[in-house]
Amino acid sequence: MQNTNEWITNNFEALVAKYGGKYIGVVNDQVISSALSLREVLSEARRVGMEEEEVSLLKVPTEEELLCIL
Amino acid sequence: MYSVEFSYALHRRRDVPLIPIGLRTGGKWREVWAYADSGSFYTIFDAQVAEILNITVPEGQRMLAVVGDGSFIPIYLHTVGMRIGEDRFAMKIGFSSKLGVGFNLLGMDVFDRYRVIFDNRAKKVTFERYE
Repeated sequence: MQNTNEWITNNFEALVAKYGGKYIGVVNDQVISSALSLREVLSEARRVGMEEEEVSLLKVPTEEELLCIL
Repeated sequence: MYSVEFSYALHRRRDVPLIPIGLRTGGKWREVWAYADSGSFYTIFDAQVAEILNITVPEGQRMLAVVGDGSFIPIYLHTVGMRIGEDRFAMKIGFSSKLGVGFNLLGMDVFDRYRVIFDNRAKKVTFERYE
């Protein structure tokens, strides 16, 4: 997961811009699924052949939520 | 002493201490990201995370937590397996469908296990497990 973790950290701003408000599933340097529902994210990940344990799951905040929390 | 560090994510030049957390209730680990929040008393995850762990949220111990706008939200405590880096342990964490922030929250209850160092100059947060 180390590659995945670094990629998420390094690309967080772009992820917020593209996926804000959704859950995403990431493996290595790829977003393999995104949806409002976490179950859907895992379902799509399985559909493309990933084991659930390989997928890093991130609830991506919206720009507005980031302004509130920060 | 076990120690693990995570680089900050950045958003519009602001530091965001997001870290990957392993969670499990059965055999499989799930990796879910959370915001290391020294202002939160409890660790609270979205109820959707409970679903994928096969946890029935309302069966947990009900508590109320105050959120940013001063309102109270119900949270339900459940014991899960947790992993930070390679360190694995069991902990009670809260789940809520009313968590109106954009993140899952890693709160002060986890900080009882670790000395948590927010190093803004180095742009990283370090978890040092107490002996």
